[in-house]
Amino acid sequence: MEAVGPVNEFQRVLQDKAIAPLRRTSKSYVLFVTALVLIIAWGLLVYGLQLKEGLVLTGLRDRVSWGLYITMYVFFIGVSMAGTFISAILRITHAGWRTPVTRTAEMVTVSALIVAGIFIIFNSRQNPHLTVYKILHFARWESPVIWDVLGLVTYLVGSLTYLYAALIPDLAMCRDTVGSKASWLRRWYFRAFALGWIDAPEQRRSLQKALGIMMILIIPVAVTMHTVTSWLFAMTLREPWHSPMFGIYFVAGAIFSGVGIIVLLIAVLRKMCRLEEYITKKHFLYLGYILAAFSGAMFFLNVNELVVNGYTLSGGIEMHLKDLLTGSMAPLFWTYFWGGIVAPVVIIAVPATRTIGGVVAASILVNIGMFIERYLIVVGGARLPLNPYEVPSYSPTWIELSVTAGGIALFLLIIAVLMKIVPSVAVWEMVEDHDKESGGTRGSLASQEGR
Amino acid sequence: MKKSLLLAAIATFLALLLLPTGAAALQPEPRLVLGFQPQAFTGERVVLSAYLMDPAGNPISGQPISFSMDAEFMNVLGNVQIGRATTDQTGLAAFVYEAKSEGSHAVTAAFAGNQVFAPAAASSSLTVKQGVPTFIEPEPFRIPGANISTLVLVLGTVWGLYLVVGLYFWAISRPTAQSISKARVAQ
Repeated sequence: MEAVGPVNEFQRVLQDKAIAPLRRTSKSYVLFVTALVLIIAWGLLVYGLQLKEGLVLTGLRDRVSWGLYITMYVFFIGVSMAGTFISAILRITHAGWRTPVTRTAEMVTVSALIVAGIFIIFNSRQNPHLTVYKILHFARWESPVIWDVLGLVTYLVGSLTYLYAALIPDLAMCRDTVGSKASWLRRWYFRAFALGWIDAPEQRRSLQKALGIMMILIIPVAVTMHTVTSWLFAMTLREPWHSPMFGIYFVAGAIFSGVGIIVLLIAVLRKMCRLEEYITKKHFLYLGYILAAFSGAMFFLNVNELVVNGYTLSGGIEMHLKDLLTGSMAPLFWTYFWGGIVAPVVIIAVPATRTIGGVVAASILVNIGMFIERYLIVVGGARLPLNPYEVPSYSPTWIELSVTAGGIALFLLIIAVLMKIVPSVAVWEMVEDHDKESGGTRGSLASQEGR
Repeated sequence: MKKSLLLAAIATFLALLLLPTGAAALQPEPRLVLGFQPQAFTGERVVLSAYLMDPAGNPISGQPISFSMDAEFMNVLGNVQIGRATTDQTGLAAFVYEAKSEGSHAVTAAFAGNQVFAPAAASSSLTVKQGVPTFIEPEPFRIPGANISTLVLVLGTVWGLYLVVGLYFWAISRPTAQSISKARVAQ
């Protein structure tokens, strides 16, 4: 197979660093993956018990039938938003600093979407194949549930396509550098998925067009997906959920938590692959600014909802607000509000804490806060009685906690596996950026996208 | 002597065992008479009247009477309590029932019994015919064009563009001989 293009020093060093995790497996990686597999096995075992005995083993009952599993579904759908969406936005706007973070973002989207779909199955009493069969067999096209299923599948296929399109030149690079010592499976895999890429002008034109379509298409698909997920709640007649604001809320919240996850992952990747030279403080700060901007948006949306609802106090909203602001949900709500929305802005705004560590800390707070926010939406809304009954209580059992831990471990495992089979940074895009900055003559593919 | 004592003990034990049954059997059975109009229309209110009397025909007051009727829910047949009332000085317990479902229904009035009187029940049939609809479904609000075809159109467009991208992938995997030679020259 033909080798791809001339290699300069920058490209050689970057290639070595990007391909290193694909060539070598460290002990810490093996330990990490083993731990994840054990957690997943435990989660599967407990899920088997739940299938056998029924949802009675969970804290879910007829009145609060959506709990931790649906919270995790909404959380992971949110996380998935940022990946592809941010990658596409940054590509369209030709944000030069994007290149080291886009691949991670795209991987987050794919793994988060897969895990989100699995959490829906966890919430069902039926065996997984029966759940899928019933969804397909009894589908009502008028139902937001079906729109959500269609949206999830469409978004997942789009995200995979987008991730793959941007991978082709890097897979060709792996094919050409992996050497004959690599296993036949590895050589076959790189050869097959590189699609015979030799950096020919025709191939570059085709890739430009494919990427151009995908980066524009994926944005409305992502926004639609998150809006439709919000409709699962907003199209019910349940008071706290039935709000036209939910679509905006979900999209803003999704970008907010997704950026937080990307920051955490690139921080790990930077250390693991020794990419300090390429993923710099600038990247963390720019992502931090996006966090701060969406923090402001979430602050505005929350205050707007509280003030409007609190002023009218229509229907059961009074009970809901009391529960949220001063009742049993208040500790969670105020932790989310101060810890998940206000504190990250303060960390990023204060020069002393505006560091890589500060942005990472802000991202951890954002994700804890956004998880709590999802829990408050799902459980807080479901708790509000539709008839004059007492407010039902819900708390997840060890069954739900174990299955959820398995789901989170699966999310991390998919990313860990992806990091072993594809370069974690977009080498070809970074090389093109570097060549452009240094006045190189090599044609830029990324800069021509979407024209 | 011992044998006679043993027989006496057994006889006493059996007598004690039978005593409650015998006492229950001794409770007088009251008369319960259920009356209401035999036919009604849906939405119409029907007064169900149950008279509770002792065997001599004297009214029994202050006793609870429950009214029930047969019902079907999701192919399961059963008996559903529709109300309760207490007998007055004349032994009358009245309950107003709003007929909701069409068809012939067996209505039952039941007295659970007390320390003086044994339980009693009486049934009668109520035929309900179609009357004024109890629920009028509002005319659905439809936006022209917002239907399944919109969903198909949106999804079709997105998946169609995915297909186009797939075709570009196919084109990448089949470079022409000319472009291969150009790439070789560049290298």
